[in-house]
Amino acid sequence: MPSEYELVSSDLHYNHPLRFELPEGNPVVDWYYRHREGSALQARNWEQFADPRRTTYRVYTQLEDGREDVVDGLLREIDETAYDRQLDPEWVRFLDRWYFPLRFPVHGLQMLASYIAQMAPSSRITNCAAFQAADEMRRVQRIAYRAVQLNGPPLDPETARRQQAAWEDAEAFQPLRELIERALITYDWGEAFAVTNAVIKPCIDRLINQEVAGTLATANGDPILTSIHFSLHEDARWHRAWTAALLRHLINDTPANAELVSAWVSKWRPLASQALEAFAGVVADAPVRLDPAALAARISDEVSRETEVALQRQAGE
Amino acid sequence: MVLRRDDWLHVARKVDWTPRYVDERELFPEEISGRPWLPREAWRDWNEAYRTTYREYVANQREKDAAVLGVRAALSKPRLFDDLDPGWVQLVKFHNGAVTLVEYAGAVAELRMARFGRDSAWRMMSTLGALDEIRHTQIPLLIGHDMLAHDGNFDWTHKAFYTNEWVILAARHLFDDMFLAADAIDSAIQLNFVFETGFTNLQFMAMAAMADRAHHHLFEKTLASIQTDEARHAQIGHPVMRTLLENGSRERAQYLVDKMWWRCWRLFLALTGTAMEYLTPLSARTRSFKEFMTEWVCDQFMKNLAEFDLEKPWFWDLFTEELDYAHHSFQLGLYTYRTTLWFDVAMPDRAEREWLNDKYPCWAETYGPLWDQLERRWEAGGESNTLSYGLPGLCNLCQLPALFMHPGRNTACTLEMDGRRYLFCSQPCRWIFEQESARFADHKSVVDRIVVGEAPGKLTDLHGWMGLEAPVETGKDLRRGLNPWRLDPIPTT
Ligand SMILES: [Fe+2]
Ligand SMILES: [Fe+2]
Repeated sequence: MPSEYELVSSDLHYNHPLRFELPEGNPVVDWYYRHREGSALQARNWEQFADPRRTTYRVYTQLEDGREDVVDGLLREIDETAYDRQLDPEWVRFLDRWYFPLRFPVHGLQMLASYIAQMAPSSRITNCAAFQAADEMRRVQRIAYRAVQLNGPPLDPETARRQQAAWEDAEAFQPLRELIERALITYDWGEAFAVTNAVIKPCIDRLINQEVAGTLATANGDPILTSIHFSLHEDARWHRAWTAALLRHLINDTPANAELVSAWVSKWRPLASQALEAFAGVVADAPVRLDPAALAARISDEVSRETEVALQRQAGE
Repeated sequence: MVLRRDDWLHVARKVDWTPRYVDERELFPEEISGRPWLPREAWRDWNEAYRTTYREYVANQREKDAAVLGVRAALSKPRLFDDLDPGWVQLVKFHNGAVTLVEYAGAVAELRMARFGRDSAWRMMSTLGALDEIRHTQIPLLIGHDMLAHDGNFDWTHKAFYTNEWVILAARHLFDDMFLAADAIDSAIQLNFVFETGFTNLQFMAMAAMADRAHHHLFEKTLASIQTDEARHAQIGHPVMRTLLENGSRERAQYLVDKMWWRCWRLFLALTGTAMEYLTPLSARTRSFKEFMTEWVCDQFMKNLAEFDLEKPWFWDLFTEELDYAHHSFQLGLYTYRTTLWFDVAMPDRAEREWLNDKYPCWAETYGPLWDQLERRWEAGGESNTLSYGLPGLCNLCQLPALFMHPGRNTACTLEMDGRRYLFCSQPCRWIFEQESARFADHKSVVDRIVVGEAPGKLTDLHGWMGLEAPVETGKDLRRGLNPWRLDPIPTT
């Protein structure tokens, strides 16, 4: 007897492989055949991958509704305790320059997840990536909410423009922006998955959720931001968990996938490291600082170790 | 002070930036983002009415799922079919097979818009739309699985779209055209603007009203709940339409609307029209299919056209004429080709014939004799005598048999192109084909495949090719020939 998860998540892409009803020559059909069927990332059996959390729609809305309750409570606490008036103005300036603009790159991560979801050859992967896209939308909205709560309302258009300009012009953001823009035009679905979930997110999610809005925020007298991102990081942890499970499956299914994914990771790592180091640099700009070099090195190490483990063939599976 | 949604939502929805390291045309390639390819400023005012936040979404949807799945949990599985009319069970099987996996294809279409839609607010709403469509796949899969214990053919809930069963093949052709093989702009017009604002109301709300009267409360709750999602994400179409019209694409927009209206009509008369009036128990019927079409679908469609100053499709007179006939003619085809379906098909009984004639004053005169004849053939030669064995003429656009009008009025037509002769059920299907012949010309209908030897010509082999294991899975006469009126003497003249 299949579990509820298996029952409602398995084998739902009836157009895969090579089964569109409209003939080739159609630009969208050709797109799929080129970037999905034609990807170097192949598996004999896609359906053996399973989301470690067994996320169905029902499970997802229940889980996230609970998490959002927690964040609502935190945001209410800010209102009720005149929290924002006690923040260091220098820290507020920091948030304006380096935190609120993050809604733009996080939306880029949302777009990347949507791409992976629509191209994946297995519905179990599609579901994971679709829920991941929604999680990124959640993060965009909480960052935006906080921007307005702290500044207004209403957020004056000048402030909104300045935050966008920071994303578009500030040196510290440019390598990250380049990384995300280039990843967005990586249309081979396998490479898009590898760069997004095995390269960009493990670094950037840690940096945003655990460092900038985490340790640094608490050090600067903004513990509620840390708590909000603790909740958001629970989503990111699951993104890493299903990514690791998928990599494990891909490599056990077809050992050559280990080399293929490694090659993609190596190709993207230099730009990702630049992005990490440049953006980590901003932690020296806060009233209470952290050491940017140490922080970037720590994240890098953690991510490398994690990737290495994920790409090893696990005997006995 | 807790912020109101309007205080902050625009900050979260407008998160486009100008790309610097890649070209915007690479970021949103025309082949998948759609045409016309407009500068970003053209999309900047994209907005829709619901403006649902993520926070509201997960709260509302959690509750909606709990309401539907709560009904399921309360059901006694062994008695699942006890209160259900046998015709209604076939309707559910028909619906589940034809709809469930299309919902998942809908998720892919929404995800495509969530990446390639040209404005971030559009992408946000499509992200939620994608989740909606995952929901619409998962609930029917559960219901279908529950019913499997009573009727093995409910595995068609999942299996149908993997087969070459001809109704499903026609559906695949339509949904590829509508969204699965369409760019983000065409999908927004065809799927959201035409299909979801117009037709899903019929499939879900009208059917929910019938499910209620048929005592199928789980199905009723499911359909009604799904429609509330559709109503929300359907709104994606309006701002896309507005942007096209403001930027010189009126002609293309009008074409997409005309095309999709006609194609949706074809599929709905075949699926919904026949199911509502030949499988739904009389006690569960309220309005006729024609009344639902007129009051629920056409009215809404007219409002949408008026809102954008679009024109009524040129084939409107033919459409109106077909409302009285098309699904009734099609039902005869379903009945006589029933062994090529995964559900059972009914011959209308006396009371149903009266109801039909009441709703369609020409029904008895037009269709009565044809059903009488089928009855006589059953009496004379048994069930096999009521089946069609010849190859029907299949339309090269809608993929359905060319039999939509009343006997004596033939709307079929042909087209010669590049040495191939194409058949169409009607002028609008031929017109659509001609507008986009590169998109459709290489496709082969089931009959074309039989003719060139890609599919078997013998009916018994064809069943296997269509994924139907005979005789277990192949459609039958719903009452197995045991209609009460057959106990009466056969009228003689
Ligand atoms: Fe749907
Ligand atoms: Fe939909």
